[in-house]
Amino acid sequence: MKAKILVADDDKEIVDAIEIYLLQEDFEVIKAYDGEEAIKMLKANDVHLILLDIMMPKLDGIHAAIKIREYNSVPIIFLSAKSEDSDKILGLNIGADDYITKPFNPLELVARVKSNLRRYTTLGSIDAPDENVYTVGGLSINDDTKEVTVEGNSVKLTPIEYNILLLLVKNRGRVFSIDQIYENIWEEEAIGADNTVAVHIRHIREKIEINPKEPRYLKVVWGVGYKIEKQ
Amino acid sequence: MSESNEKKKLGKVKRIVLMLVSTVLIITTFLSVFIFAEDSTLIVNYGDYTIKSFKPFYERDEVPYENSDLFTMFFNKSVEEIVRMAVIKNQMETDGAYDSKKVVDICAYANRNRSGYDKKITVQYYLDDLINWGNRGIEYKTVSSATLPFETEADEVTIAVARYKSVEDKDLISYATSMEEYEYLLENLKATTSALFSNYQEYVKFGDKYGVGKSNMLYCVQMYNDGKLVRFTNMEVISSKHTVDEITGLFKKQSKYLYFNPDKMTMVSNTDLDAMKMQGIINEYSYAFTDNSRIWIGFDNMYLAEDGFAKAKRYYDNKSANSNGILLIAVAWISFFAYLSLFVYLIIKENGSKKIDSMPIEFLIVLAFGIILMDILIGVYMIKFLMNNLFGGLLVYIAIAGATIVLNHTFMPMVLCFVRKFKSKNIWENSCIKWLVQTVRKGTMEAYDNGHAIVRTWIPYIIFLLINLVLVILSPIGLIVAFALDIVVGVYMYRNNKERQEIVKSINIISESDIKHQMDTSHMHGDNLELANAVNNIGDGIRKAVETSMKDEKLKADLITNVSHDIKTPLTSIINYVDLLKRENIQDEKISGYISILDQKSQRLKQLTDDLVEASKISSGNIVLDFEKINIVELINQSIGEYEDKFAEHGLKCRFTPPPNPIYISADSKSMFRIIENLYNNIYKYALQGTRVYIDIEEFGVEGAQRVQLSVKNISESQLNMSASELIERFKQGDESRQTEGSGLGLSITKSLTEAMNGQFDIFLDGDLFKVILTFQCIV
Repeated sequence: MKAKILVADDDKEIVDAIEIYLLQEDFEVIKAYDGEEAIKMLKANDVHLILLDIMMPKLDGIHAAIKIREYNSVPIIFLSAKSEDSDKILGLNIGADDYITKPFNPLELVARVKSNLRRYTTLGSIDAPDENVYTVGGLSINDDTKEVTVEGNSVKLTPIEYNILLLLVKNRGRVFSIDQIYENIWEEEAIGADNTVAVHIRHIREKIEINPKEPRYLKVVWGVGYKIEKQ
Repeated sequence: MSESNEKKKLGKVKRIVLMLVSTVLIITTFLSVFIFAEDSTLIVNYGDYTIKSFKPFYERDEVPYENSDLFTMFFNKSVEEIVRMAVIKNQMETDGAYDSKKVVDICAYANRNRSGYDKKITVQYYLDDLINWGNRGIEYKTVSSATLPFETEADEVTIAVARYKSVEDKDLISYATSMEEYEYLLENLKATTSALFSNYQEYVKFGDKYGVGKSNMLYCVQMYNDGKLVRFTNMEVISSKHTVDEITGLFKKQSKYLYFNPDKMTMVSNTDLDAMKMQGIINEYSYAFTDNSRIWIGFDNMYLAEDGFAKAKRYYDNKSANSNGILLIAVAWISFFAYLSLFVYLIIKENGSKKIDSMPIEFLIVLAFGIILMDILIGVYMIKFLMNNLFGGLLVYIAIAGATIVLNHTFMPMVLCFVRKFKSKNIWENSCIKWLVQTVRKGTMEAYDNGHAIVRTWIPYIIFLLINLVLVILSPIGLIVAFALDIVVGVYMYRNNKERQEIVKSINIISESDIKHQMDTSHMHGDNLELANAVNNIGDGIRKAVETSMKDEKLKADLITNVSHDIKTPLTSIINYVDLLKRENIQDEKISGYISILDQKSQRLKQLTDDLVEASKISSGNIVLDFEKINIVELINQSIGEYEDKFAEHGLKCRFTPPPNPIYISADSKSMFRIIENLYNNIYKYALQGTRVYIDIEEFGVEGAQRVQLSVKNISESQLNMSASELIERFKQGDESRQTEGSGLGLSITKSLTEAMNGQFDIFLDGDLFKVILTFQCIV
């Protein structure tokens, strides 16, 4: 079954462009050009994900999302030119699942749509968790098979990268400094640790993140260290 | 005027009514007091004497007339009169009756009061002749000295007309042997005739006043008359047969009595008179009270005779009975209290101002006191006049009421005028003192302000020295005054300097940190006050300017943010459709070249918009920073890890030797990386390919106040033909690098962010060497 995606934006060209990208990925697209129309379309169709612009006529995205959340838990991704942190926080707080700022990278958009869909559709049907399987969102590490998957896609990591990622995933929420990571992985004292660890971390991010600049799993706390967010 | 004030103020009509009521009350008070005083005062005319006695009603009620002051005064007066009468009787009478042929020696009579008088000549006249002569007066005539019985140098002399002859039927002049002797005799004659005439008048009066059955005063005086011991009395029962003790017994039966023996100075009495007082009374007539003189005086309280005592008793008893004293006192108190309450009420309610308030207060004071003084003087004079005359009567009351009205209607408006002035806090408004002080001060200030520094400092100093010198030379007290003056000047100078110090402190505060700082000028004076106000105004101006510019910056930032949102929407379509074009697998190299240009430029436009928003946000202070403890060494290691590959694209190599220990600063983690990222992007874009990038971290400064310095050095690809500050300025880039990617906002954003986190951002250009130094405060 094709996933139905509702795209709501007052700019017709943007909606059309998004449609093209989504159709290429074999999604079914329903289009709306304002908040009210979006809600109408949502009621009339069995929608699996909504891409919602914030600044729209008649009913803006924020209010539309609030109304939708009253009866529907379908994933909502905001799509907005508003790039302030406060805007993002507001959007996520009222019940959106993701927030993409305009202008967006089409590949990133598609990746996020897929990611959110997967999480929505597989929710509640997760296999019995294995002792040695660690999952963070769409990221999953099987320590028995030494296999790492992101959104179901297998990722190839070097042994050091794997160990670093495993250390962070096992202690998710905790921030590790470069020295601490070094001492844990190389098992020797770090004297004036250099940027070796940092380079490895960047490589890991490039492999597991949709947008390495805005990581979702492996976060950088500048001047302090690295961590995997608790989710 | 505000509404609340309007409410508080009394209505015009109500005020007038209250004033009238107050007048009525004060009149009531004054009249009550006056009538009370009148009631408490007894005035009795007793022959030639008017006797006054003031006793409050309640005392009078308790004291019977015979024990009252009034009676005592009457009695004592009568005693004096009786003593005098006895003396006169002794002069006029022989054997208990007036003797017209009584022989009087004028020299002895005239000198009767002089003890040890050496009698030179005896000239005797008949009593009647002397009294008549005294009545008619002595006439004089001028005669030639030849007619005189004695020799004299003068040709003519003035002698008395011999109206009456002596007992020997001779002229006065015939007794003289010289002019001096004649003048002596004439003097004696004059004294004798006038004294006897007035004594005779008294004799007649007293005879009537103290005659038998005419007075309640009883007396008996025993004295020598022409060598015989006689008794003058108005008691018929007394005869010459009675002994002294018997007479004393008779008098002791009277309600008041006294017996005086001048020989032994003994006194038997139930009055307040004692021997000393009695002696004082008879002292004048000691010539008459020779050996064996005795005086008895008594008072018969049966009041058989209708005399002054009886009249005064009726008056006294009548007044006592009719006195409303207690009522009057009550009325006086109540009305006075009501008056005071009303007065206070008027004072409380008094507000606003009247025409009279514009008068100088000194004038008002003088006027008020003048009128009040005049009122009091008139009142006192009137009361005196009334007391000396008969009391009471409607006219007197009206006069008192009139005086009171005048008093109240001058006194009250004056007080209310002061109250108004006091309440509106302009007591000194229009006052002469204020005018004087202002004029003097203005004059001084003008001279002072326009003066040269010499005038402003040396002249006061010289005056000060001169005053000191003069005072010290003058006197020891001057020394003390000079000392006090010096202390005052010292305190003044201290205060002046202290205020100056405060001003300097405030200027420093404003210039260094707190532009909102305002100093308290309430305790400042003169020049310093002006200075302080000026500083406050400047501070205010700066604050306003800063506020305005902050507001403008914020408006600008908002505008830029909104515009950038509007730009981003079409930009999204451009980027998306360029991307779609790229996917179309276009074989034409020319077209795919165009598309790649479109792609680059649209990406650059996106970057530019983001930078623009960020730069405006930072410079308008519209950015939220989340300060935390950051290890700057870790940060550099992390950032190099991020950028190593990117640098490698341009053949750039990073050289960084991390210090062995972590160095912590307080900063916003994301913004800190943003700073480093901008610097790296800058290097990536503008550094000469294949060169090395040096990064150093150095800690310096004393313990507890260490600072950390992060320096980033690289070689610029193109020549840097501009200053460091120009480089940072927004939208400026090195001319040669204008065409390359980058908005030119990078350095500006970096600098603003660094400063927002209390750091210091410096750029040094040395040939092609481009060096950025960031300095932060270390934390432990």
